[in-house]
Amino acid sequence: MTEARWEETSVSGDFERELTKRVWTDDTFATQVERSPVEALRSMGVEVPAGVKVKVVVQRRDTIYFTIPPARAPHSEPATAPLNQMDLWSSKGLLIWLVPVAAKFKLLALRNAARKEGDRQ
Amino acid sequence: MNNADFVEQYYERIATDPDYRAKLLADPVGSVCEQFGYAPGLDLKIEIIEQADDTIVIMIPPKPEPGEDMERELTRVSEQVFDLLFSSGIGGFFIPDDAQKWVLREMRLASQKKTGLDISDM
Repeated sequence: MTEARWEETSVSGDFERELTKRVWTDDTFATQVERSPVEALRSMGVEVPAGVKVKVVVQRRDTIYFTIPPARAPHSEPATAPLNQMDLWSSKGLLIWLVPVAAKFKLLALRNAARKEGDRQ
Repeated sequence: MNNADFVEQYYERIATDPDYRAKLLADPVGSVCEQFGYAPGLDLKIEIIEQADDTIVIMIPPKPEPGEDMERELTRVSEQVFDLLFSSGIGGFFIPDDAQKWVLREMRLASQKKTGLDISDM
């Protein structure tokens, strides 16, 4: 990734906006970001922090997304925190982050990477 | 079994029964509809979003339809970002398009009837 390329794609350091814009305007990127998100994000100047995986889902209007909790060992004790059930109608209007407690600070690092890149200009 | 139990037991099974989880991932529509007692339409598509302790999931809104103002939509999306930061225990449906919402409502109704709770009697 080069500074010039970033300049072309980002003026705001607003990660959500820039990512959405890339997906909407660049079909190759849209495919790549679902297949190999780390490389795709790197191409827009955002390093995914070590120790965390990223999955990117580009929502399709004809699909319902069913979010399921993490797998646990068979017959294990129920989780200490209750499971929240939530449905999100009209999710196409939202960019959604699903971030487990363990990866919360990694998200901050990821967002911060986008911000710093933007601020460098 | 009341409806709350139905929901909780279903998520518990998904979390702790590897065979069922694999089946759900392999055939989302068939598995979900069987569980809810719902007969799917031909065009029903369900994608499973698995949560994992080491994975951040980003769901990007669908591309605007031709004719929609992309810049305006980008601004709206930027202003409507939704963080689920404690998502290690969330189950639920995300429904991008309102055209799909009746499908989910009918699925819910079917599951309620299946548990013997008929809300039309209430």
